Amino acid sequence: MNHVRPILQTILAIVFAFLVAAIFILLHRSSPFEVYGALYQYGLGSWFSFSNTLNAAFPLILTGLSASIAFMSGVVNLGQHGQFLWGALVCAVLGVYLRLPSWLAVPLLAILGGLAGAAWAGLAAFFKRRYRMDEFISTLMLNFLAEYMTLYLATYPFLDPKAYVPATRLIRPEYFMTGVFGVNVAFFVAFFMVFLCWWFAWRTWQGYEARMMGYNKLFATVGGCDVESDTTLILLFSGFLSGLAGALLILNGTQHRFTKGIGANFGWDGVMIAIMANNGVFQTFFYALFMGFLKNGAVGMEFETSVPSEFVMFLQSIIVLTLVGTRSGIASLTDWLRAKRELGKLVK
Amino acid sequence: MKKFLFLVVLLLSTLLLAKPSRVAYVINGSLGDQSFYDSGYAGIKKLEEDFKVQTRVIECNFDPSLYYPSLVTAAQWADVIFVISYGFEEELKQVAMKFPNKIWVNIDTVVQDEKGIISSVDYREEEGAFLAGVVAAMVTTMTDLAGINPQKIIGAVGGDDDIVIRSFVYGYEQGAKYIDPEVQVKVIYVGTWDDPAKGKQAALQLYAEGADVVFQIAALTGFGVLQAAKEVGKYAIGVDSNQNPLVPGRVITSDLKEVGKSIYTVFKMILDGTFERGKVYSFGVKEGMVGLAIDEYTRKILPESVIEKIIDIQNKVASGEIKVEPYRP
Repeated sequence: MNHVRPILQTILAIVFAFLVAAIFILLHRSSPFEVYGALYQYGLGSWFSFSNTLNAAFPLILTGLSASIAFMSGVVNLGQHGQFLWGALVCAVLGVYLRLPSWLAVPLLAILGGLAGAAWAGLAAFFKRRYRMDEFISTLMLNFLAEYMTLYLATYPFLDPKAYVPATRLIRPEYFMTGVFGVNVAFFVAFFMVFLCWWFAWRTWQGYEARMMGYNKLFATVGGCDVESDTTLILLFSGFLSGLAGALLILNGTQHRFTKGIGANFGWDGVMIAIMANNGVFQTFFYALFMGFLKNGAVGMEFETSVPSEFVMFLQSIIVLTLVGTRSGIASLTDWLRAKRELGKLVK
Repeated sequence: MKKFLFLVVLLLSTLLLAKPSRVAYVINGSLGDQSFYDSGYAGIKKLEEDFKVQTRVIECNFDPSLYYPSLVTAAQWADVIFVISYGFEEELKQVAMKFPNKIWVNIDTVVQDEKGIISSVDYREEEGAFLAGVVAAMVTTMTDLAGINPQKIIGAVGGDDDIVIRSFVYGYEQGAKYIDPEVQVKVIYVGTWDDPAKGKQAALQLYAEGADVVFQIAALTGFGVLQAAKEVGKYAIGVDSNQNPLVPGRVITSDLKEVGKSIYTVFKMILDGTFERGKVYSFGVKEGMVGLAIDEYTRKILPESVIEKIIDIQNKVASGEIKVEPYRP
């Protein structure tokens, strides 16, 4: 019963969110049936669309996990964007110059990308430990540094002189990761990381300490947790996840090189997904898929119904906002109703 | 007889079916820049009117995660896809490989796949920029004009530091040197295509360093350059579309890159069967796809004798009498 209620609440919230967005579509003088038809057709309608949705979701799953793991431990890592970029850049540059057999190189590049992300988050962890600097501000500011440093590296030292935008060279073709029936291998890696995160949070000593820290840091300290080491560990781990997302996007995305703006909005979408998912690991997976579906279907929406892209972004925000609002609204309403019923039984 | 009729019907239907009826326009940026992307959009709209085709636009808003799904979506629907593919050349090749029967026309850059599916429209932008450099150098040496200082400095604001913008700058410098070898050219690359505030800041800096004319090569970012010219009472040169009326009296001329016109021309070639797959169409001043926009706004700023001289130089570039060196990376 405990598992069924949140699922029902989520379904209800999604339905309600689409209804609210439908009002705005009507105000825009388009037909909601047509718009949602296109969303379905391009997001889920065929195996081709469905596999594209899964491929669009894999970076979101990883950045979402990165944010979830951090937030569930009370560590405010907002540096997903920067960690993602460093993971992508290190992977893209090494992918050009590294000469190894591909079975060895591909996992190595992915892990090195992850470690680059972890190192960038590690800077924030170092500042936290050494100078008690709040990771909230340091990770946030490190995003800007990462953005411009990676852009500089891609525009000057590692520039592909034949590219039309600031970009590094293509990585060696034998390092391109493949797919299974159109689904990228990176998606399965992300899927595996979901289980790894679950195992870490619920089955390990450190994961337990981290969760306790998330509930109440002072209590965790009094209870004997090494809060400082745990915070460092969580920052490194969540940095690793973001960096891995960046590296996999290079290895198994569509670009196979670091280009200006490759980070898109993956980092911030990850933060949003973690908040939508209440920092739950499996919920993060679900909402990342949902965001991937919205993202992939939105292009079709824009295309079939000729609504401008700005309106599509507006609709996405409406859906996310209503969903989160409705879900917590329903949760508090049902809690209130139950409390009232229990009270009624007692008073009679 | 029956067989003959059947053949005629078959022939007619294939002819009718072969006529492309759905056109998509996929761009890496977004519409509303009053310059590059809007010029192409005007061409797409004209196709809709003149040939009664259905058209669709996909704007990627410079978000690389949208490039691939946008191309796939367009390919599923359209017969002809016009693409401005800055930054997603690889994706374009991959998707074209999956939909080889569609007509792919890539605009402003050259993308070539092994199977020769994608055609490209490549502009000789250095020729237009040469003319912009000619105008800028002439104006900065006309010290009797209001707001012109004695220093021979002209400026340019570029979007990204990339090949196409560098060839613009290269042509611009050649044009300036053609008029007066002492003219100094200062360039700022802003790094964005959709931020007029940054464009304005860069232009103000160039004006403060003594430039009298700033050439904008930055789509929507460059709109800020025109505003800066108005603010400090100096001059600017527009790009891609005719931007002279946007800030009257401050935009001397615009270096046109007729994206819309070339989309129209290429589509006509597709209709009458002269279009070739995998070909690179090179368009410049001679073809009328690149050149200066000289209109009543220009005449308000410059005397007729100067305009005549400019038009004379433009004709010389068109005829090949003046050779503009292309940029080699």
